[in-house]
Amino acid sequence: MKQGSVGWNDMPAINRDLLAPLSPGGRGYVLLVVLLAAIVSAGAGAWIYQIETGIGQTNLHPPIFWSAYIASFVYWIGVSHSGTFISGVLRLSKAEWRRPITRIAELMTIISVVIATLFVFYHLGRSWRWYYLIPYPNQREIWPDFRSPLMWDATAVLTYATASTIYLYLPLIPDFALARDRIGGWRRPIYAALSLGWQGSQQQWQALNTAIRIITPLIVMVMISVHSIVGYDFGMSLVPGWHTSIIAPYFVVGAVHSGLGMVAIGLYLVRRTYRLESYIRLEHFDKLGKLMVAMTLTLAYFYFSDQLTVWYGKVPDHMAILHSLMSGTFAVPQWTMITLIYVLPLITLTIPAFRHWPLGMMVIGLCINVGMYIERMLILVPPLAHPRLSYNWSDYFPSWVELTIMAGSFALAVLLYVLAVKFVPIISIWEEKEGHLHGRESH
Amino acid sequence: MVENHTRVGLLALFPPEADMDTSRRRLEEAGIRQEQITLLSPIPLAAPNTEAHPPFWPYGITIAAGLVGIGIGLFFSAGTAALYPLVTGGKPIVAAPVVGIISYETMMLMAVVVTFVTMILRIRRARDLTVEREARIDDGRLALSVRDIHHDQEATVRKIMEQAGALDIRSVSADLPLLEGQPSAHVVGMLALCCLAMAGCSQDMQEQQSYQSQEAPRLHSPSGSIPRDSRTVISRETLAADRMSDRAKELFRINCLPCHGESGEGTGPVAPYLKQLPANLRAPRVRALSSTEIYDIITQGKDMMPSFLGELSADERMVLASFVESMKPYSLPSQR
Repeated sequence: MKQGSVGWNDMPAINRDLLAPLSPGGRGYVLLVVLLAAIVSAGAGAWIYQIETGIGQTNLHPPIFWSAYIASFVYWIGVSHSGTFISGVLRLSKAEWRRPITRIAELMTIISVVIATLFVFYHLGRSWRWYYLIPYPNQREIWPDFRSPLMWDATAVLTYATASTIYLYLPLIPDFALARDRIGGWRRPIYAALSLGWQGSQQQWQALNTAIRIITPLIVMVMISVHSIVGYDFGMSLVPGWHTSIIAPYFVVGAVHSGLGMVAIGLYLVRRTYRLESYIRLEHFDKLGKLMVAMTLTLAYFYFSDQLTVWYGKVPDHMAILHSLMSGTFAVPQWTMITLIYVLPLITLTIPAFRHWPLGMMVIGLCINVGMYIERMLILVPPLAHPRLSYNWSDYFPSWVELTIMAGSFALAVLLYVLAVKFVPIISIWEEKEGHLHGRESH
Repeated sequence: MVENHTRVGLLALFPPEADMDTSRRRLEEAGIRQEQITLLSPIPLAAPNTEAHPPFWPYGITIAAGLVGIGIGLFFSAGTAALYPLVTGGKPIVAAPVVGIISYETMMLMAVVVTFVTMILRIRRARDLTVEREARIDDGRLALSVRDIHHDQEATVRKIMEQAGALDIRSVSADLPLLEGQPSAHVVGMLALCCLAMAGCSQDMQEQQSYQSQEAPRLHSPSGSIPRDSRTVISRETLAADRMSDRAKELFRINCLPCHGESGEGTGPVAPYLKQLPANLRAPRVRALSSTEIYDIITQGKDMMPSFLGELSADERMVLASFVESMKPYSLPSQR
């Protein structure tokens, strides 16, 4: 087991660079936290107001019973696919370029799952009755009906949240051990507890790597199932526009699309804020851009196939929705969405020079995410607004309570991320070291 | 404990290019057993002999946990459906795709969680094999830990380590408690238990008879409390006139008929689906109750019957109680 010293000499520098973001933030950081906390409080206030005065504070009305909250739930579950896809699939395929990206993406996963779950609670109306979803022998022996896709969803999201938290935590153990040795203060005991007494012995490495090797394929399978089931929430109904067999794969690909966009934003901001240019290099943006092109094309293909089938079938109920999207009430958001998630990414990301421009990649990531948010709204509202009996047709725009809660939740996601960056090494230190070593050996 | 004092552990720091295989071999020749030696590194080192045939048992544990997970999914989805045979959406009571989807998720959940717990146990058990943590390995060094050395072997081991190019050797007496991480792990464990315990207990004031947000205007004060504001005491005499009125019948049809049936014999349309049959209001058992007792049952609920506290006003419940009281006793054919 003779090791060369090449690559090993980089380790002190890697420790220094990647532990640096954990040091207390400056004035700008505190200001950002305060600002985000203020928006979060506004959202929390709106939620309390909604609980006190009732779900009528939303603009939900017959026949539109699902809208902004459910669309946001779908969107945030989608964003959560960033971590598991980037990290899981790339780890499985042993792609070396994943190393500086995985942690950034995995953190997004956990936070988005939390935010998505919050939206279920906003939507519940009587939020304190949430436990009706848990199968337990209650007083009146009313158990949940597992034939409802909403029950599948609750089970799947529980599994996904648990599994992705574990998946984030596993590669963190050696990094927590490092932080325990290098960072003092109040955080030390927390790091010590979280590092499980890690010493770096070969037995421990073997245990860790075996667990990662087993859990990685499992999390990829869970990831695909979760957004499929979110799709089934719609697909299992007979609502025109939802009742289509492509909805599950379409949801999964759409989720990965918005997730990759979010990773591009995260990569850009982390790299810029903490001067990590030597770790998050242009090649990473390039590879990510190529992946985004693949996802854009797949999503566009699914979307086109679905809409073409609807248009050719010319079933009146379905056509009403298609018309309202293409040239009717929802035409403006529809064409904005198509521009943001299909046209712009395809025009820009296919140019190699553009993929090497981090700011541009960030902007495209932003476009994709705004577009996907609109897309989620458009999946929900137009089909509900056009039930089969046309005298029930309706319209919808979120109320100020809904908008405030959505903004507050978004701020909460950013706030959690900003706080997490100060606690968790944002790039997996030991995997980066391993990458340096492998890189040097293969050259 | 006495023996511990005669034994020590040695921890040596090496540059990364040091030949660890040779040192290990030489240590073994010097009478140190393989399990006393551990190699610490900042990144996983590929060990050729273990990598080719990774042990199967961790995978076995995952598979077993997955099977248990399938069982749990089966229990909840098929079990619930079998326990509550209500046909919804024209689907079979135990629908195979549904059972499959739920079992898939519970399978994954159990597999991942158990794999994780197994790993934690392995990491913590492996910790006892090493004398101490060597923080300097993270700067690109290797460390060799030899534990439990008899003190007459110590000099030999030291010499072998020095010859292999050790940068620094320190000795750790073996009776030093290896407690780092242990108390904190207990804290984490206790916290987890507390969370579990808290999840089991309701924190909700809704379990008390207190006013809830979004509750319909309170029609009756909680039992045992003194009415205030505009609550008035209802006199039974004023209600007597209402007893057989259309109002009483209407209230009965809306609130009682689904379970107790048109004639009050406990044969309402919902009754076949209930685990426990609704009471026959004409049975002698019910006949023996006073209208106040019937009023209490309507207010608080009984067995499977829910409370109507939030549904009906005290006035309405009083009318219903009188109505039920005034029902004719059930007459069996033999008694006729």
